[in-house]
Amino acid sequence: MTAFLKQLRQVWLAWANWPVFRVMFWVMALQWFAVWCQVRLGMFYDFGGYRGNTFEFNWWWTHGIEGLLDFCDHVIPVLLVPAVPLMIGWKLRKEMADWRSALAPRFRFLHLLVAAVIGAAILLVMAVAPAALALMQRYASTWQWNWGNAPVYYHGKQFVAFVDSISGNRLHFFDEVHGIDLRIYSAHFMHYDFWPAMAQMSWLLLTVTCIAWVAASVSSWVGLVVLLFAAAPLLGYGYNFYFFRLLAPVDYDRGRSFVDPGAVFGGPVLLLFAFDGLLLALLWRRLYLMPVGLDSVRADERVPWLSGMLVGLKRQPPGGLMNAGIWRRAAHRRAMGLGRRFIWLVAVFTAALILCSPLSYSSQQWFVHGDFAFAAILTASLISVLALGLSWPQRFAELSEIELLRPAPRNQCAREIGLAMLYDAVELAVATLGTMCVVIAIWSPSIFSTWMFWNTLAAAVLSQVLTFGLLASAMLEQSTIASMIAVVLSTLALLILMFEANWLAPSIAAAAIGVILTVHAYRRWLLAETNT
Amino acid sequence: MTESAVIIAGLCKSYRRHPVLKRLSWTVPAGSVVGLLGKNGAGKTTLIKCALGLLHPESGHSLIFSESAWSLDAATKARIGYVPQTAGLYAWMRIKQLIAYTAAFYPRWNDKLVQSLLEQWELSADQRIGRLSVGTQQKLGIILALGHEPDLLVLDEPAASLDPAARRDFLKAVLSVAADGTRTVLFSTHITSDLERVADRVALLKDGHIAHDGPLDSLKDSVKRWHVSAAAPLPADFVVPGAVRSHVEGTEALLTIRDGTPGVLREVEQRYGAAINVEDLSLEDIFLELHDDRVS
Repeated sequence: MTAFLKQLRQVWLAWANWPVFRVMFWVMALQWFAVWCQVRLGMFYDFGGYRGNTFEFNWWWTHGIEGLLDFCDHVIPVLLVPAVPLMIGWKLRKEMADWRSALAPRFRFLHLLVAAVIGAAILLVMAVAPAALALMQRYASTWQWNWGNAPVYYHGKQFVAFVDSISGNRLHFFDEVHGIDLRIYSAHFMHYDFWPAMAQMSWLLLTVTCIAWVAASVSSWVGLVVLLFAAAPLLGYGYNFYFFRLLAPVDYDRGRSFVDPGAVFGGPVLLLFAFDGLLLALLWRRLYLMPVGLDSVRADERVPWLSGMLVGLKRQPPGGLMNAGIWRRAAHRRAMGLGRRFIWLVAVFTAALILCSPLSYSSQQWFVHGDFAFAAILTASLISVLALGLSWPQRFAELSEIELLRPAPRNQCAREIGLAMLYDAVELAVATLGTMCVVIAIWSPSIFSTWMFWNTLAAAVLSQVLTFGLLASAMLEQSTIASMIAVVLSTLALLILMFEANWLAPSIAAAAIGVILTVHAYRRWLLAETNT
Repeated sequence: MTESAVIIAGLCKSYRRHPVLKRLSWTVPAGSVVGLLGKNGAGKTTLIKCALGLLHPESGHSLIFSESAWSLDAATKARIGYVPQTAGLYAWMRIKQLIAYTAAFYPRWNDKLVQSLLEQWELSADQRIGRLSVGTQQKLGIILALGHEPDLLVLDEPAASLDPAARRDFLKAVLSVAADGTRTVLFSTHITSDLERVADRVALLKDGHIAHDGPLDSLKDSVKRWHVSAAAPLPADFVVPGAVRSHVEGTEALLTIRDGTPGVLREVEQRYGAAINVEDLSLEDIFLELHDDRVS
């Protein structure tokens, strides 16, 4: 027993001293501090909302301290939710690949146990527990009500309800701010919100499991697509719409038409929880039985069988590029995992999914509304950003020294590789946005005549210019962290610009920054080392 | 006068203030096969990358075929073949796709040589690169570097992940590249037996400098091991000029001598009434002796 505890302590220390874990700890501390500030300041949670006909977020430049606190206690955790399983899965994979996992007794079991406890604790502390702070607030019910718009905390509501009930229901039953009588709402709290909250929690668990699965075992393009679809709803606004409603095709409107959520949600939610549990058990088993020297196994898994066919390069004869123009040479240098056919395959697949999504709703009202076009364009843009951001920096780091020694002067080489990346960026944007416009044309053709749609589309396109500049700069650092920061910044910029699409100037400014970054990256490229 | 393939002068390179190369100067003559030897972390890869213009030195310069390595033109680059320590290949391509992709860049491409090497190393053109083992990927990297028949072939520990049979074939390929005496091969390695088999020159990198550079035979001729058996016990301060390492015990001494002359040998024999047995050293022994920090 003592030996077991000693081992457990060592494994725990190995995880607790992991730098990534420390970063996560401070991010969570920042989130808790922001929530605590909001409670002390008597602010209630309202992460954006409709102002007139436009949905707006509380950005710090428009809402000052309120926006900043919202950012800390909402946006940061939303980004952290996919990061936690990703990093834990990645570390577990490394641990299991280590020779000690085969020779040291209980090594695998203890690592899996500690990782599971840490992962569960982080998600609980980050996503659920902050809800408890609501109890310190005078208008706790108001918090609960407003949390309906906050995906990460949504499942925290029933936690608050539970604490409410055992604390003698000391809540004020009148929302002075909204003028809504919440007595009925509170009385039926479990009835109204328990199952929807559980539905969201089950999806959160599925998302987390999918991400951990991808990080721990399969890292192919297929896995990436799964990851995108699992993680996309966490990125915010689309969360309630994509999956919440897909799970229960009802008009969930507590104000007008009451539908018993328990009756509708119960079955699918329990099934989803069972599926989550099965996936987690399989993931545990997979890691527990994973062979030592996993990296060579992964090298094999990293290349999906379709990849060669999807590259789609035009074959050149030997020496065929010697006297070719820069455009043809750049097109030749596009050789990478993101082949042309792959780009179009992903775009069509995504569009097909979005096209089919309204079929699972009982009412298609929402789809003729502008929000559908907005969500579709946002999805297309995110896929474009992530695909470019996850593929090119890796390619550059692995192959830059070989590329640089191909017969071409350094500046020509920089231009050709930059153009090759630009080709991919443009084709990705055209493919994803173009196919999505077809979907929009099918479901809500009237939206094309609105100024808002074209503003949003322009913002999406202009934000890609910023993304290109950020990635071109990050690529030169040849660092995974720099690339991830660029992807996160691009995603944030995309969200900000698209939510502010009624005003095009920020998008144009962002695109200008993208151009400046690109030019700067080109100049730095001419002096860059290729020390991989 | 023979053109030098690589000329390096006063090269300094540091990583986070830790100097790796210290005003290093070195010349690789054209048409030679040069082995670069050095301990782990001695800076062999850094030296090769600086020489090729992949890393920017803090000071000094590197010329390849009389052109600055940092700003090589297309024609000069077409004369260089390079195999890095870990072959950076496009994992998602098939072998034939990668060969076609690479061949398109070069003005000359010896498809016959490439096909024969593929056959020799039992590589199928339809194999997916990502599914190849590390050693097989290294073979492919070597084939691709040889395809355009470079005038300067630079290999950074190319044989480290090859099996003995593949290593022998690889050495044969290197020899065939260098056979006409006009091509230059520069390779770093830990495997001294490989180097002995193909290199005609050897350079030793130590403490950021080239500690020795010259024909392999001259290095072997210059470093010998002396077994000294004296008539009386040898003194504690027994010193022989040129000794890089000595071990004295009673009447016996074991010395590693660099540039020992017959005159010195005779003097020791006469002064101590000693019989001296001179032993040739293998390159590996020479490497170990010259890198031993306990040099007396």
